[in-house]
Amino acid sequence: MSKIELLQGTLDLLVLRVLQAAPMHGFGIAQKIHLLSADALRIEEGSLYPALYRMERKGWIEAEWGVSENNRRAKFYQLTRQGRKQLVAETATWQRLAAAVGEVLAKAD
Amino acid sequence: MWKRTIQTIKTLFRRNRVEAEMAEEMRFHREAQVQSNLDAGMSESEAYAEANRRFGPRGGIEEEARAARGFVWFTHFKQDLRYGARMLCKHKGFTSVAVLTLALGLSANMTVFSVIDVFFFQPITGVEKSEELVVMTRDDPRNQFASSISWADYEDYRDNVPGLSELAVILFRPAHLSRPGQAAHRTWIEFVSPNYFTLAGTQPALGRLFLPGEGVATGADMTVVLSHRYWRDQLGSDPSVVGSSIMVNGQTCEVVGVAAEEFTGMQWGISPALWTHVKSAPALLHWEEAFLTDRNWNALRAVGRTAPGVGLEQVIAQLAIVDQRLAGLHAAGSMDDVVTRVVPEQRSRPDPSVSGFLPLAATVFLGLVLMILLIACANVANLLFARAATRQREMAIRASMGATRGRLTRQLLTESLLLALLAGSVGWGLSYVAGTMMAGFSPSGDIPMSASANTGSIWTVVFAIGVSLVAGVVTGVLPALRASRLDLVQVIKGGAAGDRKRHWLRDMLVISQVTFCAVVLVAGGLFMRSLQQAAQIELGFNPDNLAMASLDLDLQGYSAERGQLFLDEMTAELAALPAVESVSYGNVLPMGTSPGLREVADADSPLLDDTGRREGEIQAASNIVEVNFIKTMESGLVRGRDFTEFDTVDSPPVIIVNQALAEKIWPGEDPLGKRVTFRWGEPMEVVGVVPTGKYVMISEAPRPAYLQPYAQAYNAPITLFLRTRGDPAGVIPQMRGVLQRMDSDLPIFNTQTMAEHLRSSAFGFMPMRMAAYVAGGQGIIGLLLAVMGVYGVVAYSVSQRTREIGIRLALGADRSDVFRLVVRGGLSLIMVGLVLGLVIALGVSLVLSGLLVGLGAFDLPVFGGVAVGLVVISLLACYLPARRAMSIDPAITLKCE
Repeated sequence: MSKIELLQGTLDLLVLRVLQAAPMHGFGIAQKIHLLSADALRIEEGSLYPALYRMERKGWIEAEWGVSENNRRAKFYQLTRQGRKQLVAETATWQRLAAAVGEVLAKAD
Repeated sequence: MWKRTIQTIKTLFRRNRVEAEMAEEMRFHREAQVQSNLDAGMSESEAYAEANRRFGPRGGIEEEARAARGFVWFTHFKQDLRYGARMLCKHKGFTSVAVLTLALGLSANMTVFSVIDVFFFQPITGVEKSEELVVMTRDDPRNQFASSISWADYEDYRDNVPGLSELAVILFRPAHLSRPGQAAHRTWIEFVSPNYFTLAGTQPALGRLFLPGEGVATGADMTVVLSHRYWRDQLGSDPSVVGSSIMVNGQTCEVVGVAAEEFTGMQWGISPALWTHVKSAPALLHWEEAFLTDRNWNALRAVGRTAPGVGLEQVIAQLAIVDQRLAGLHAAGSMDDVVTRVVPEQRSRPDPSVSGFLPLAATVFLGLVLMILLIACANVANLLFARAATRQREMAIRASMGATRGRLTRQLLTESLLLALLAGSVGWGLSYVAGTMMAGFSPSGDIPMSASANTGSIWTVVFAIGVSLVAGVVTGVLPALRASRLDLVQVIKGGAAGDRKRHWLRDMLVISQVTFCAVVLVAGGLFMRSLQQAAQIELGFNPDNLAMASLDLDLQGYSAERGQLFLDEMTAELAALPAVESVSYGNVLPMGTSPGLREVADADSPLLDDTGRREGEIQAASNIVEVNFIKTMESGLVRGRDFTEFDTVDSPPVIIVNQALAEKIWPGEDPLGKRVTFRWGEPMEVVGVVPTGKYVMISEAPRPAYLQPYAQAYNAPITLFLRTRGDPAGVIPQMRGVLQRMDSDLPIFNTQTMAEHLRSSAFGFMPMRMAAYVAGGQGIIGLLLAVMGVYGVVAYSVSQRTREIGIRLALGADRSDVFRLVVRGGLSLIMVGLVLGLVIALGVSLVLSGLLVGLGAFDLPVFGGVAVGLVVISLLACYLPARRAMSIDPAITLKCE
């Protein structure tokens, strides 16, 4: 399956969703999205970290230093209350958009 | 939201930790990626290469990540500052030339602004809420100096204008002060209304100020408050001064206190020796008590404080209501067309009657120095352009390291701002030096000036920093934008940028420099010429070989009889001095501090009202003079006769008028035999006519004036005039000796030569000299900077065109052709700039014409001189680079390429 370009703003939604399950470090987030999308989505580091810092600044996620699976110091991100609200809102928006695009594609003829 | 703010603040203050954490996070990610690659079965080198590829150039992600964190500019700014400082230190030659150039321009601005600051911004010191102070002034179409009011009118304003929470009056007079048993000296004191110190809201340094109710009854309280300056300088800070006596014009007064050091009164720039009561004025000045009841005895200047929340318009409306009632109390018609206003104290300097022209003068001078600054900015911008070319590689490297264009522009701008701030501090030092030089321009006269006028307010610092920053931006913005717009490919290829636009921009720089320089030079030239023309002004007397001295027998308690005897004896003794050709005296010193203006009219024209006003009344400069005055001053008589010993109290009153007065009252008629009168007194017959001279101000339009013989109108404060054989300064000690012998207690002042007096008097040449020096200095700085600019641009273009010139020479071009090529390029720019500059200068000259003496708007010597001089000097600036171009050896140049 070839790679898909992410829509503007979708990265935030994916990151939030992945973090909803459990706190995770940057590499883990990228891996998880990669795996869950069945290798279709590959997150560039150059977009991931700016996105993480931006969301941290907006207060959707917060970071804490912890220890990784292989005993290295790593920075773990987790959702804040505001981040959860944001996730709900963005999920709803995404679903509405997806449904609407689906409708158009199905019925355009 | 709160959390976010805290985080950004944390980010700011723990930048190093944040950076370290970010680096660690990236390192972790990279290593995890390598591990995962290894797990996927790649070789070690493949695993590293793949991870590195994904991260792109080192620093790229961090750069974007930093931007996502916000407040990134602060971090960048600090980096830029450090980097900029390093660059400036590294290129010392460039830095010092650029800093000095900008410093010259900036110091000119700071110097002029510090003068403006004195006139417009400095608060009156030692006064509570000085921004609420207002000065009352009257506009009277019949009288230019009408800002004074009478005591009787003052009482009406004080009680009936609720918009003013306090209104006080000041009478500023010379006085002879002494402590019992000591010789008197002359100084100036203020007679003030009882509420004066309440209005000021000041506290005494010693003793007390005036109490409520003190000074209310006429002549009841002979008490004074000393100024701190007088107490310190004249009384040696005597701690037991409170309760002691001081003689004011020979009468004993009690010292009740010393004012605070910073309080120097509420009249700007003036520092009186002491304060006493207006109600004591009749006793201390030997004035009639009518002074306190006569509504026409306008001698007081009113200062007030606006009530909280009240605007000036409201106050002026309330004043108009009072004026309406006052019109009924004054003689009929005399208050017609009179408008009473209040102006903020800071808008009333140096005097309400002349403060109107100050904003114009300030704008002109500030405009001129701003042009100088623009020339300096253009020079430095040009240097930066040249440097930008050599820094292209550096920029290209930084760009390939991940710096964006905005980042590069900011970096370059930071550098030029740094440069400008550095120049600003050097300029501050230069303007301090200029300030001490200008301090030599303090006007002469015996009025004590307050020292506060010599220290700058906070606004000078604000202005200095502001103007430096603006200069930094103006200088840096174009070169920065230009330098950061990179064509990487072109730079890598090493191709020399044949950018047409850049040439165009540099051409504009030269043109604007020459333009501004022409304007500044013309302005400087006009002021210098004006000063030169002023020396040719017909003064109405010959100022050479004339010594003078003033004395006031009235203040010393001489009666009219004793005084006249004293004067006669003095004149005889002085005339006997071998170096003295002739001696005379008059009660008005031309261009002195007391103008002596009087209303006069033809005695035969009809009376207008019961104040004695007549139809065709005019204001004229008066002087009451001793019989030898016209001879001693060498004024010359146009018609009729001079005064003689036979004009005495018992003979019919006579008067000599000047031509301006004769033409104004009796146009086309013979003035001899006509009769002139004041608003009171006997008519005087015109017996002679003198040429029109200058009386009040050197720059005045022809002013009507008249002379009365001293024998018919004794008036004690006089100025002596001694026509000398040879150097007048040498006669002054002998003159002092004679006066000392006759009355050792008598204070003498204004002892100097007439030439000195005219040069340093605020009403003489002083303002013109100051303008000429400032504008001339500006012109020289502007010229220097413009020559540097033209030279820089032509030299740079020659160095850029070395190859082209080499080819031309190789192809057989004559060296003189090359010379012409280079010079023609520079000259055409100069000509365009010059023409533009002269046109603008003509406009400036029209605006200035009110401030210039004896010059038309288009003064050919100045305009022509500037045009020729500028062309010659800029040609010289082109000549040196052109010579270098001629000496180019085509063989070497072409090989180099």
